[in-house]
Amino acid sequence: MSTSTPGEKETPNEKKEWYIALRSETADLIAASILILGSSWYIIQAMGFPTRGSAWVQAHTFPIGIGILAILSAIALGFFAIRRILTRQRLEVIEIHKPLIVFFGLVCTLAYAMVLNWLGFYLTSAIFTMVFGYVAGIRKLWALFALTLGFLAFTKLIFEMTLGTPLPTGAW
Amino acid sequence: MIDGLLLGFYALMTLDVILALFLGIAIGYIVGALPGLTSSVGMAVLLPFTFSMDPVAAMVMLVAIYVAGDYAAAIPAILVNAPGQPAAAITAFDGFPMRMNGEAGKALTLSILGSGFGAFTSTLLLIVSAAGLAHIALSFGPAEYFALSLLGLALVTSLASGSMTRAVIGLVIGLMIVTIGLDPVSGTQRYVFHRGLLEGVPFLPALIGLFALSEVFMMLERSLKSSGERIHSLPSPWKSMSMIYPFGKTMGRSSIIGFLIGVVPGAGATIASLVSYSVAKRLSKKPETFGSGNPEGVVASETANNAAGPGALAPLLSLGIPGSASAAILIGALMIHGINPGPMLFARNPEIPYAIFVSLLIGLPMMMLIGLLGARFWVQITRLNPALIATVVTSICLLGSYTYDNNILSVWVAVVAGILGYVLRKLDIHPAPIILALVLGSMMESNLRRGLRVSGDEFSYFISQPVSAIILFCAFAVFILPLGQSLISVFRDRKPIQDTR
Amino acid sequence: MTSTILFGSIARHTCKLVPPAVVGAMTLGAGLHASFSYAADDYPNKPVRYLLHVSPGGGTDVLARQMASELEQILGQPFVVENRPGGQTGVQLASIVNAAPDGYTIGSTTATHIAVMNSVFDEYSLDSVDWIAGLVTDPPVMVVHDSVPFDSLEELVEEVKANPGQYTVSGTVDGSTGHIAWAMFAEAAGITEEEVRYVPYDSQGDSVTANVGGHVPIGMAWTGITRDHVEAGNLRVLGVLSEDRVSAYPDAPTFTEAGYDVDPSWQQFRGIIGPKGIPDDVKEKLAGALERVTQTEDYIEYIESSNLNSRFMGPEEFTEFVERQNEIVAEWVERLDLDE
Repeated sequence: MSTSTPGEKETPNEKKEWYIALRSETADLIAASILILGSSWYIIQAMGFPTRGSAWVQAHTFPIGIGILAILSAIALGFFAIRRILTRQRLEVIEIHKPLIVFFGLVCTLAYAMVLNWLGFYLTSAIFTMVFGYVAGIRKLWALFALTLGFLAFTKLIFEMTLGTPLPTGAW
Repeated sequence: MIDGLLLGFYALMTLDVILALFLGIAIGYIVGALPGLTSSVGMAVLLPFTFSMDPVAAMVMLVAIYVAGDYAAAIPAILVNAPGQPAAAITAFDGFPMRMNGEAGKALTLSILGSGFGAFTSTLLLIVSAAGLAHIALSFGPAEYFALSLLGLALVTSLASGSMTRAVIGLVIGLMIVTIGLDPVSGTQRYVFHRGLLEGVPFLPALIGLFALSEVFMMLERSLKSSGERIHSLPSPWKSMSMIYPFGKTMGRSSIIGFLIGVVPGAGATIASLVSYSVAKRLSKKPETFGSGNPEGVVASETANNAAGPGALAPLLSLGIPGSASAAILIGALMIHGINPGPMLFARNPEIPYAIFVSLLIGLPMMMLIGLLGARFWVQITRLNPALIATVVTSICLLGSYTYDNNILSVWVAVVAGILGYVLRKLDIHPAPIILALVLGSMMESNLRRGLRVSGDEFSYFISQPVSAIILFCAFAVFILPLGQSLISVFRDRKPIQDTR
Repeated sequence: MTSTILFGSIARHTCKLVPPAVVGAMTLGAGLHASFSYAADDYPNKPVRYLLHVSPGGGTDVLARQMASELEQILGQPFVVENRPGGQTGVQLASIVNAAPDGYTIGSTTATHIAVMNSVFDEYSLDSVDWIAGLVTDPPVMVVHDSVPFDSLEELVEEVKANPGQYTVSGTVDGSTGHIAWAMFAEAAGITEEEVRYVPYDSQGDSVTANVGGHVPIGMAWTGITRDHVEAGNLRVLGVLSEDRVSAYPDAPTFTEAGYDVDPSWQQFRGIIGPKGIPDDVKEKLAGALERVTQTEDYIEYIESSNLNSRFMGPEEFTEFVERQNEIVAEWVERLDLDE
């Protein structure tokens, strides 16, 4: 799966578009370091699991094995990245287009999870669908309203009425 | 057996039962296509409605939901890279790239043709061999399950189209996630940060997040405008049947693989898809095109995973052993009608298994017709404004993860998995290995430990049984061969094939 | 990895989000029931939530849904079944404990609840909930694969002692009802862990399948799940852990009859619980309705076809029953070194 779709960023009426670019080797090295740190923590946690009886394979054996495999694969990732840098292979770049929109999209979904219990399902979904739709690029107000109403009606009909799902009602 | 099938036809020839069959297919089609709902969820929520139905009608309806739901999971996998079930994650591997190439119609048509063909062939195999195959189901002990899960994990590393290192990283991330919760053997708490995670990270929300939500974030990046993408026109349903021909061999092979693996309880559709996909890739003249929109990948995966469905009915009907979550619900449904599914089912209530056989034989062509007509409708979705698709998919995904177990924690899991999936995609790490590790990881660990308890800590137990020894050898070969090749290439100081992006 | 760290922080967030609402509902509910003592007269006057600790589709779920429709006919208000699976009953327990004790929230319970109250949850004990009624018990049964060369508990003990390490016994996860039943028997018979190893499976169904397949020759299971396999000749029953012989296996002796001193009150069970502090009259009314359900034809038919053992217990009897279960669990969790 390629991370960028070539050609799109050159559409004439979107000249001003900016995007984040990161050298793939740098990204790989960062990822490898995070993976090594995370795996070390993971292994240390595993060592604290209680052991029972004399069995060879205990509750901690499998996690420790996975942790070691993770560290090895992270080292491989880092090794290949350094090797690519040293051999000066063609420069590869990870591009994040429309970073602000992606960021707002992420924030919207996080906010959804945070307020779901407080506001209840219907209010949260109504706000979410409209805001997310706007962020995603639906600019016509009537379309946003229609979409939201349609989705809520669908939920009411299929999930609440037919399937009897207890949707969160909110704190008030 | 002919008597039995006639009995089945006779039982089926009432308006109620035909109606139940049709209703089941329609419901299965809908629940399968919605992310967050699976055929087993659909069956479970409809279970109370079947209490008052005639047992044959109830079973026919539930079985129809079962097969139609398994098929429909491929639709969102192809259209928005959001597989409705783990097995469809492998369909998404080639199905979604096909859709991005403007071949959504072809991918959808091939998926329904493969599904129908696979399920139908598998049903025929089921009818002739249900009783005999029970022994395969029973012969799988801890050693064989361990070997099978190891083979599955090894295949995951080989099915990745790009770098093997990245596939392994995906795998270990999945394996790390799967160790969260109570350990399946000794009940020790591992990495339980929240009470809700005691039974592990909820699977379906993780699947939704890693695939669907991360894909939505990718969609946000791509464009705000209508894609205006060109759609290849679809032939009529009858003509589209001819699309089977170039894939005849693949379908035949995948059906048999799917059926045989489906018979093993608990192994199921995911491993069937994996094996079938890998075999197709190995035998292909152009293995490098797999993963970037090769229709054969869609056919291999869909045929096998739908062939596994009827296969899973063999141990259920002959021994009362549920081979999958859906099969377990069928058992519940039978018990509510006072029928105990077990080794005595064929002797005591022959009308039940035979009605199921006949309803599959009649229902599957019906399902194919609905699917082929549906493909023409679904393909229109690709014409819609991507912003609209992104919004609707996200809303349904968040709702779907909540309704998975009526718990907000599941929404959190989906959202976090979505962000994780997005970051990993940026690093060119595909979500499929993570999901497959979630399916196979605990199967591998618990059977390893169980096997060691059975044998008294003797590792030789795993290679002393012929079936597990053969499977372990295959797993070893699958894993070692590409690793050896890439190591050699590293030392020859060529461009490493292991890490091409 | 990073994901696990993230899960951790999120988990704490959700914790913070829940309480205010719940505490409010709780105090409100508690206040109401204290001031209106005639609660039972018009109970129930609104739908009752019936929370299950299992996913839709399994045996407990099916039984609960059937009960709910019968209860609605008797009490005239809908009993709305909600599945709250996950967290080893923790998700459902939290919902019940935090609900108002007014009889409008009830939940399913099985032996698992007692096990987790002892070994997993520090914050929950038997006193965290009201034990409203017991419905079904299912005695532990010892089965063996048809090929083993012994046909009674006594011969089994002889055989495994003569061949230490040759035999294994299957059940579900360490510390489960079946594991404790086996441990109690093993102690009474003087069998050590080295002589017969215990092999845990993910579910009782998997465990019985392993017995039928001969991978594990001995199994601790229940009557319901083994009956057809016994009838088909795949498995044999050597003994039953209960006070009297069970109707499903009239020829199988109880452990006591066979000469092994194992406490027969150790049973798998299903019942109904509610938040702590439900007024006695409401509890009685609910229990009365449940008792009527257990006398309906549909219910009796279901219990028979599932090979369960119908045993209705009112609030007091059920509370005593679970207290005894709890003593056994507490003792064995410690002896098997399962506490963390």
